[in-house]
Amino acid sequence: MTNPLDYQTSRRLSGTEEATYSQRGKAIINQLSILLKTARVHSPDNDSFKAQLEQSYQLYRDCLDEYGETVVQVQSDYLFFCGARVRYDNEGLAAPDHLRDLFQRAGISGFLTTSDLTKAELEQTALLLNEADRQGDLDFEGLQRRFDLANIGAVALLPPMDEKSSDENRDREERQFARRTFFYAMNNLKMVSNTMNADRPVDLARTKRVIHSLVDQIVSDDGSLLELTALKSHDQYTFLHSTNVCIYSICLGARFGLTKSELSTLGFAALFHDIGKTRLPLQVLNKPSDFNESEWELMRKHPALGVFTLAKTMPFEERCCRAMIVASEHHYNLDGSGYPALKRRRSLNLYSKIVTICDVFDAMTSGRVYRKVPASPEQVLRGMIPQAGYKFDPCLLKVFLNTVSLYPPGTLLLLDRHELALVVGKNADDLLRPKVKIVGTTQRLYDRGIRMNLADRNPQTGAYYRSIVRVAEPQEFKINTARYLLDEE
Amino acid sequence: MTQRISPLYKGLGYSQGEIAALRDLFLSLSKGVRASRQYPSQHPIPTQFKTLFFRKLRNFFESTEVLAVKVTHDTLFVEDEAIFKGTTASENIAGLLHRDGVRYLEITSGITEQEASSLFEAFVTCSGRDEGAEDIVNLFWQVGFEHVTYDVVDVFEVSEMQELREEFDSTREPAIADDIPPIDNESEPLELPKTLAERFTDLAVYSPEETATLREMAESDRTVDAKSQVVELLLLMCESSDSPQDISQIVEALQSIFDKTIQAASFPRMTIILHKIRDLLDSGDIESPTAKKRLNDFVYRCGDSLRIKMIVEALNRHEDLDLHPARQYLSELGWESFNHLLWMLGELAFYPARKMVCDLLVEKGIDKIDLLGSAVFDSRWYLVRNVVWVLGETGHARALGFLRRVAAHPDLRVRIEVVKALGKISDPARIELLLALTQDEDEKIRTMVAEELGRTRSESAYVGLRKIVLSKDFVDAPPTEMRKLIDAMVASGGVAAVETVREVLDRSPLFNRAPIRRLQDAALPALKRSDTPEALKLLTKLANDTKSRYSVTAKRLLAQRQFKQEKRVDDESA
Repeated sequence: MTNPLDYQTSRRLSGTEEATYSQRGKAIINQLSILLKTARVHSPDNDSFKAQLEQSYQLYRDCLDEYGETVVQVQSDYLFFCGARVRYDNEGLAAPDHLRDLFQRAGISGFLTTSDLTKAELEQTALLLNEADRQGDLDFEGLQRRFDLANIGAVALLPPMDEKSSDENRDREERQFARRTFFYAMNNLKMVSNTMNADRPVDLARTKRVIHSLVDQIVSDDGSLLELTALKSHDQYTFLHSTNVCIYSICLGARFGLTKSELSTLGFAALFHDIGKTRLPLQVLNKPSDFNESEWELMRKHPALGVFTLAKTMPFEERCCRAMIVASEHHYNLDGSGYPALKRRRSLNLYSKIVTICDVFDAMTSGRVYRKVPASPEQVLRGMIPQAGYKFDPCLLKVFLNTVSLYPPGTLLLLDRHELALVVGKNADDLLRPKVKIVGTTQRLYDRGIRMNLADRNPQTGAYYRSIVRVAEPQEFKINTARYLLDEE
Repeated sequence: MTQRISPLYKGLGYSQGEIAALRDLFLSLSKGVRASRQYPSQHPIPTQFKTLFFRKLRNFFESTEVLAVKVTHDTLFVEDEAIFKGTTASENIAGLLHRDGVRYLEITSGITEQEASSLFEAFVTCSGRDEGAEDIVNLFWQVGFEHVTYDVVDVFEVSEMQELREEFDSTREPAIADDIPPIDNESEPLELPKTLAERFTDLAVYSPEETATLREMAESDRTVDAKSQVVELLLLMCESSDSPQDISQIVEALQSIFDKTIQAASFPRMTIILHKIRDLLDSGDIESPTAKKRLNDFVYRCGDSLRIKMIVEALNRHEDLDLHPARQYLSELGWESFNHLLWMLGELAFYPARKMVCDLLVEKGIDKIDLLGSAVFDSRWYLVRNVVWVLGETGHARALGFLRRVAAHPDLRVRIEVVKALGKISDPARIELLLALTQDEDEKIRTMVAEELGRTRSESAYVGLRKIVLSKDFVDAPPTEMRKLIDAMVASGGVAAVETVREVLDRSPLFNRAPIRRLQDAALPALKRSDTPEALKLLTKLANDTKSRYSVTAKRLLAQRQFKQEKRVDDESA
C-alpha cells in the first residue's frame, strides 16, 4: 500500500488520465457526499442509508478494481481524485463544498482506500467522518486513533497538506520540465546548424516541436524558462544565446498579446537569428581579444549570411521567411543605422524589433562578442532605456522591461545579511523583491543554492527577512552562476 | 513531449456496440484519408468522408464522454480491443500517429465540426507529406484543439540531451570559498538604483496610447506578407551592395527561394518575383554592373531547361491546380524559353496542363513558326500531335510546310490532327495538301479531308475533287467517303459541279451497272449542297421525269430545299 504521507497529489498526468480521473472522481465525490449526508439523518439500519452505502460501495469497487487504490484529497481548496483535479462547472458545487468543509473540520486533507475495502469499512468510515464533522474539534491524530480502534485497515487518512511544500514540489517539477525543454532547444539548434552549414535542407519538425513546447510553458508560466536565460557559457555561446533570445522573445510576445501560433513563429525566427554566425571563422568568433576592423567587418556580415543560409536550407514558408527577415534585420536600427547597410531605409518587421531587444540584452549580459566583460542585467537595462526610439521600439522595450523586471534572472544581488543571491524570477506583486537563490555569503559560497522569496516577511514583525543592498558582479565574487542555476537536478 | 503510460485508456466501459461504432469510425477515417489523396481537394468525395467522420464521432459521443485510444505502429486500441488495424501503408492511420510519436489519443465529447475537420485534414496532410514537412504533432498543436489531446514520446533521445548537459557542465568551475574579498561598508546598505527603479515603476503601467500602439503593431503585423518581404529585402541588399561576392550570394539565395516556389507550384509568387526583379532592373537603381548582370542572368534562367523541368514536375504533382497563374508566369518568359515550353508538351501528365501550354504556344508561337514546326520531327507522336494542333491554331501559312512534312506521319492520330489543322489555315496552298491527303490509306482521314475540302468552296478544290470523282476507281470507294467527296465537290464547285453531277447521273454503262448506280445514288443528294439555279433546275427536271429512277429522290430533295428556304425566310422575318 502506498504510504499516505508520501502520496503526491500534484503528480503530472496526461490529458487522458486527467480527464478520466476527473470524471470518475466527480462521481465518487458526489456519491460520498450523499452517503455522508444520509448517514447524518439516518441510522445505519435505515433502508435509504443502506441503499446509498451499496451504491457508494459499488462505485468504489469499480474504481478499486481498476486502479488498485483511490485517493480523495483537498489541496489549495481544490478536490483531487487520484492526483487529478476534479473540475466542476458553476453548477454541482454542493458535493465538493460539503466534502471540503467536512475534511477541514475532521482535520484531514482526505483519505486513501485500498482494493481490499469492505462495505463494512466504508460504512464505518462514513459514520466516523460524520461524527468528526459534528464534533469539529478533532485533530488528525485523534481521528486516526478512532479509525485504528474501529480496525479500518483499508482506509488511510491523509494529514492536512503542507500547502507550501506541495507548491514547492510543483515548482520543482515545472523547473525540471523547463530545463529539459531548454536543453532540447539548444541541442536541436546545434544539430540544425550543423546540417545548415553543410547546405543541406533541414527537417524542421523537431525544431517546431521544441518551440511549441517552449511556447506552451511560457504561456503557462514564463518564470522557469526565464530563469534559465541566466545561463551563460563561452563554449556554447551561440547556441545558448540563441536559445535565450528565443525564450525572451516568446515571453515578450506573450505579454504583447501574440497568439500561440504567432509566438511559435516568433520563437522560430528568434532561435535562428544568429545562424549567420555559424558561417564565420571560429578564430574570429572565439577571439579572446578585441576585434580589429576587418574582423568587425566580418562580424557585420552575419545578418546577411544568416539570410543566405536560411534561404538555401529552409522551405520557403511563412515562418522561415520571418526567420530570414529577423536574421537580416536584428542589427538594423529603427533610425536606419546598423547593418547590413541598405540604400533605402526599411521599416522593420515587428519580430525583428522584438528580437533586437532580446538579442542586445542577452549579448550584453553574456559578455561575448560585443563586450568582452559581461555587464549585469541591471546595467544593461540602464543602458538600453536611453536608446529607445532610435535603436529599440519604445513600447516594445517597455514590454521587455516588464518581462524581465528590474532584476532580470541571473542578476547577482548583495543582500543585507551579507548574502549573495542570484535572481531566478520575479514577484508580480513586488517587482523590487525578486525570487532568488542564495548562493553564499560574502565570505563563503554554498555548494547548492537555496531558494528564497525576497517578498517573504516575518509574520510577527511584518519586516522583510532579507533586503537588497545592491547589484553585484559575479566576477567580483568569482561565482559561476550556471552552477547554481542547474544545481537542483 | 513525454511518454506517459496511461492506465486510463482502459476502464471507460465501452459497450460492444460502441466498440463496433469505433471500428466503423476509424475505418471510415482511414478510407477518407486515402480518398483525399486520390481525389483533387475540391472533389466532393473527400468532403463527404469528412462530414461522415464528424457525424460518426457525434453519434459515438451521444452515449459516452471520452474516446481514449492507445496507438501502436499499426493498430489502434480501446480497452485492449483493437478497433483499427492498418493493413496497407496508404490506410494506416495508426502508423501516421505512431511515426510521429503519438502513443495515446483522446477525443472528448463536444468536439466541433471544425475540430473534426482539422483532425481529418491533419491525417491527410501527413499521409502524403514530403520530407521536412509538418508532422502530425505539429499540425495538432497548430490547430489548438480543445477536445483532442494526445501523449507524445520525446523527440530527443535522452542520450543526446545528456551529452549536451555534460558539455555544458564541463564549463562549470568549482565554487571558490577562500579568496573572496570582504565587502566594504557591508553594514551600510547601499541605496537602490533609484532612477531606474522609479522609471521602472512608471514602466509597469501602460498609457492608453501605448496600449493602442501595441495593439496596432500586432494587428498590422498580421497583414504582413513575409514571403514578399524577403524578396524585397534581398533585392534591396543586392541594390545596396557593391561586393561581387555578396551579390553572388544574394542572387543564389534568391534563386534558392525561387526554386522552392516552383516546387510548391506557387505560380503567382513566381510571377511576382520575376516582376520585382524586372522592375528593379528597369528602374536603373542598380549601380553595380555585377548586380545588373547577375539579376539579368536570373531572369534569363527563370525559363531555362532546369526551371521548366521543375515546373513540369510541379504541374504533374497537382492535377487540380488553377492553371491560369501558371500560364501567366510562362507567358512572361522570353523567346529563349520557347524550346523548353515545347519540350513541356511531351512531359506534362494532365490534359488541362497540356492544353494550357498549347494555348500559350499559339499565343507565343505566331512569330516563331519555324521553332514550333521543328518539333514535328519529335519521335513522340503525342508531342507531334500537340504541335500540329498549335500550328493549326496559329493559322499561319508557314505552318503548311511543317504540316506537309508530317502529313504522312505513321500515327493516325497525328494525321487526323493535320487535317484539322489544315482546316484552320486559310491559305489557298492548303488545298493541294488536302487533296494529297485524299489518297491517305485511312478512310477516316479521307472522309475528313473531303469535309475540309468542301468547306473551302474553292475552285482548286473542285478541280481536284472532280478528278477524283470521275476517276475510274472512285466507284469502288466506301459509301461514306464517296458521299462526302461528292458533297465536297458540289459545295466547292458551283455551276460546274452541277454539270459534273449531271455527267455522273447520265452515265449508263452496259455492264456492271451496280457500282455506277451506287455512285449516282451518292451524287444525286449532293445537289442539295448547291444553291445554284442550275442545281434547282436539274432537280426539278429529274423530279418531273416520272420514268427516271431519280424522280422520287429528286422530289424529296426539292421538298427539303423548299422547307429550308421557307424556314430561312421565317427566321429572317422573325
